[in-house]
Amino acid sequence: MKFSINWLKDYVDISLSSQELADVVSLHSLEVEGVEVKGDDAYLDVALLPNRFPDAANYVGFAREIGAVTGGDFKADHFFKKGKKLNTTTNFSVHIEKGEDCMRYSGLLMSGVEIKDSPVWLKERLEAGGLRSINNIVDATNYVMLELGQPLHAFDYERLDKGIIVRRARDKERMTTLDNRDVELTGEDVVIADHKEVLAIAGVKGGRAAEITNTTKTILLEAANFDPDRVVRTTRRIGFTTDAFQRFKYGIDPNMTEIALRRVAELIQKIGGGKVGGFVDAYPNKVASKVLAFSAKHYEKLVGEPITLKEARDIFRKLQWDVKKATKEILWVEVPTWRRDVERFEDVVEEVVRLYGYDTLKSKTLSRVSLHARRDDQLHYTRKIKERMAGFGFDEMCSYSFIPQAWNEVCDENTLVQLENPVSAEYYYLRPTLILPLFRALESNVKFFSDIKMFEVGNVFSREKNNEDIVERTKLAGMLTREKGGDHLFYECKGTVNELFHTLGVDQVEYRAREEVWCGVLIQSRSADIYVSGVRVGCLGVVSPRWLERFDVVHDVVAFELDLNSLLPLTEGERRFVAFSKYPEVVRDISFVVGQEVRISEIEKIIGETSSSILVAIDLFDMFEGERLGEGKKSLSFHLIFRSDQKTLTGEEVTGEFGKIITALQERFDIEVR
Amino acid sequence: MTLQEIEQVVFAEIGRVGTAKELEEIQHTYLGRKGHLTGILRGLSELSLEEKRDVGEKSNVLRGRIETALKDRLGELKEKQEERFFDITFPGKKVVVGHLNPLTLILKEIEDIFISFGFSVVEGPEVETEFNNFDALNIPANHPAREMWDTFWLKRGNQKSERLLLRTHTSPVQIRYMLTHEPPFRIIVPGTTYRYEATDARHEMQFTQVEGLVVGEDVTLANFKAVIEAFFIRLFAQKVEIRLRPGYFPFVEPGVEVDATCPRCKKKGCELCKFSGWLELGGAGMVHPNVFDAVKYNPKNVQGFAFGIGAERFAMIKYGIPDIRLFRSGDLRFIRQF
Repeated sequence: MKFSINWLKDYVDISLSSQELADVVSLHSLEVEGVEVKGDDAYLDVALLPNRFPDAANYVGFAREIGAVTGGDFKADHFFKKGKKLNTTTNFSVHIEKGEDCMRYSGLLMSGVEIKDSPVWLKERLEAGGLRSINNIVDATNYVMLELGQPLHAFDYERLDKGIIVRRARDKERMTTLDNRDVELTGEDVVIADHKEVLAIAGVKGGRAAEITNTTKTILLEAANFDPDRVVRTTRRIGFTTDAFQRFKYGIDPNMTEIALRRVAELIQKIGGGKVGGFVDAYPNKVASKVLAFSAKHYEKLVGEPITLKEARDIFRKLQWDVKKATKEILWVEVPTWRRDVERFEDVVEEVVRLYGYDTLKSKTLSRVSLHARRDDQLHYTRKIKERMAGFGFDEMCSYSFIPQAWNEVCDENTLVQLENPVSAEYYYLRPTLILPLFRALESNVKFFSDIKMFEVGNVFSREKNNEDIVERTKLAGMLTREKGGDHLFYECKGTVNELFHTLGVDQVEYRAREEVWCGVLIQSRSADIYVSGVRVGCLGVVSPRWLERFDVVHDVVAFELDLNSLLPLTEGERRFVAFSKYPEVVRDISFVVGQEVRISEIEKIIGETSSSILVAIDLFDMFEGERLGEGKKSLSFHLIFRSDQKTLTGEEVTGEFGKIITALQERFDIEVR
Repeated sequence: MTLQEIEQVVFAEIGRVGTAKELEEIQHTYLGRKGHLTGILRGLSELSLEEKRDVGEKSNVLRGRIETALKDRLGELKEKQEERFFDITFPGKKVVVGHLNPLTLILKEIEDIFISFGFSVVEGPEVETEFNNFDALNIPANHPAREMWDTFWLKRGNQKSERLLLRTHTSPVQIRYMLTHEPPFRIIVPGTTYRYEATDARHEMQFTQVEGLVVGEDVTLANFKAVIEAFFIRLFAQKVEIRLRPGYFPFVEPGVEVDATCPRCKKKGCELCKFSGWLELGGAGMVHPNVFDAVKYNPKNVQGFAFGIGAERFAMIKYGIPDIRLFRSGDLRFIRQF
């Protein structure tokens, strides 16, 4: 809310410059977001959060706060002093149907008022408060709302049918607002009505029915206190709000109604004449001030800095809170009802510490060493993975967790998590995989770079089929592209994944042909499921040209994704040293031609099954295809490495073993040794 | 030739040669199968036991010296060959390394500082229940304070099941942690959070928060001030002053806003701190007793502080990043700078 300093000076002495005032208010009270100088006045833009809106979003309340933090004299006390008793003998009646809808409804009649333009000073102040001038009566009610925070409404008394009823609207009941909106109401909305029709939507907006006109002579001034929840629900449904609503929403001190009515009547007499008539007040459950105990000892225990009761008492005086009772250790303070946010000891502590000044609080080291600290494995491994991936030349992406609506075609829509309120169709579902957002990033980078390797660690989300539960998992995904990628790109990616597994101490890795189409983005025949110790932990594959075409990506793209929640429990953590053999190794090479569709894993499996323990490694070092070999053939060359832990192997032993392997391969795959 | 004669000529000869081939010849002449020194060793059998030992030892020493001299000379000759034009300004061969996102870099810095203060790092899910994100944190339904967090809600088929949302802060992890652990403890919670709002250079719908929570019998606000001060000094590697101001977060009371002196201009005023000399760096306060109630702690026996800071903001300050949207832009021209 923006406050004019000149206007504030009506209620509190201010000797500081506007900037000094802004600083001291920010440090002790409410955040001043800006100071704006206009002519001979300056405006403070004050951030009012829900806790202080009820008491400080008005001139008098904010002036009181300024008095408390600057020591300036508060000059608006007279509003709160009990004045002459209002005349309650009137035949006018107010009836509240449901007590919980309306805590208090006060009405004050004024007769013989003259409706006319407001004086210039009033118009100027309303303008400063962002409100439009209508006529002197409406302006007076708005002025007092800015001044005291209590919304007011004026009805043309002569147009009312009997008395006021605060009731629920009937279903489909209609009302036309002062600004000519036709609103259809429901039984959930609270309205102000006479015995004939709806006059106003409680806490939101007045209607045309008993509107003040140029010929109005007698007015009913309303100051009420409505249930914030209900007011909020009504505005949500009807789709517009008002200044009055903003105040009701945060709750208002119900004891303000009479104070505001007296004030507005005084003002109207000044600018529109008239006579104050009867006062009606429906206030079944009076709200009284709370008395809270303040203990200096407990204060010190929480804040970590001592305070004397004398100092605390001084602060309560600045706040205009009365100390009702005092012992050597405790002050009982009466918290005025306008401070609805102060409910318990800790709230009182905040008042004392902020006014005493956070700047006086000395830092005190947390002394004892925490022995509860432990390593967070997820963090440890995630860091290790990220650093290793960067070492492999991959750049780290942090994508949005949202994917476009249009991408549901490559996902199973039944498993996608959908937002109730997406910001746009571009950010519509939660990502079910990191591969999709990585692809989006890749696509936006290919115009600048042709050689791209990137990865991301992040969470993905899915809905279980036929189940309400949302599953959130942490994944690592990588993606690479390059000019002239070809098949090699797949194997490069696979090599990266293997080396990563090695880092994590994972050995039992297996690549199996994919069983189900996944996510539509990878080509099924060129992708693999990755298993560790028999558990599926991820996949690796070539991105489909259909997908590449759509996004104008011209080079091959390969991607992988690992589920870290599944993988990390399978890691060894640290690698263990294995002793070297004292005996030399013997390497024998084998080259042969075999059918193109024989998988390397099948050949390795046969070699492994055939040989005894002296075969320690199989290493494919060359592969080629070509016309020379004949249709559907390929040539493979392996190093076979033999070694014993017990002795130096003899040539005969190795040759014998080697022969067995060749025979087995010939029987199984019909190989042709070169 | 005798040993003395060999010793007199061989080293001078080695010093004179200009090619590797000549060195090979010298090696052959003296150390080869029919070489002079080899000849002396062969003749040993004709000598007495004592002479044998003496001449044998001397021959071996001399052989070692000659071998060393040959190698040294060969090295010299090779080095001489290298003395041709060589352009040391030719560009170095590029090593391809990946780059970590500055978000990861800043989080590591933040986490490591708190770990050194004895904090544990704890994480929690991004999809949260309404209860953990709001109610348990003293933000009941219909409370106007809920407006402070514009929330992404998730669609659920069944209207009756509990509403789920994308967490608007990492504070719900406070609840998860306290429900499963007993004080005393000190934890930080880094994580992704979401706000349903329009984005611009300073606002994001998805960002990263680091929450802190310290609970014990006698943890005070003064302790918080010490922790946050030490943290900022470590993070910015310079002396910074801390300023606490009144703030409002329903899950703490008293609640404070935390400012630090601007590390760029050292309080003189610059673009970064909008010429105020101070930067707003987070919110904090003493845990509200209602929060302890929600996790079944007795507020009479425990107290503590909580704080929240934004990781992107620190990265922007430290690395001079002008726009918060760059972190998730996916733009390699950005990431490859770090």
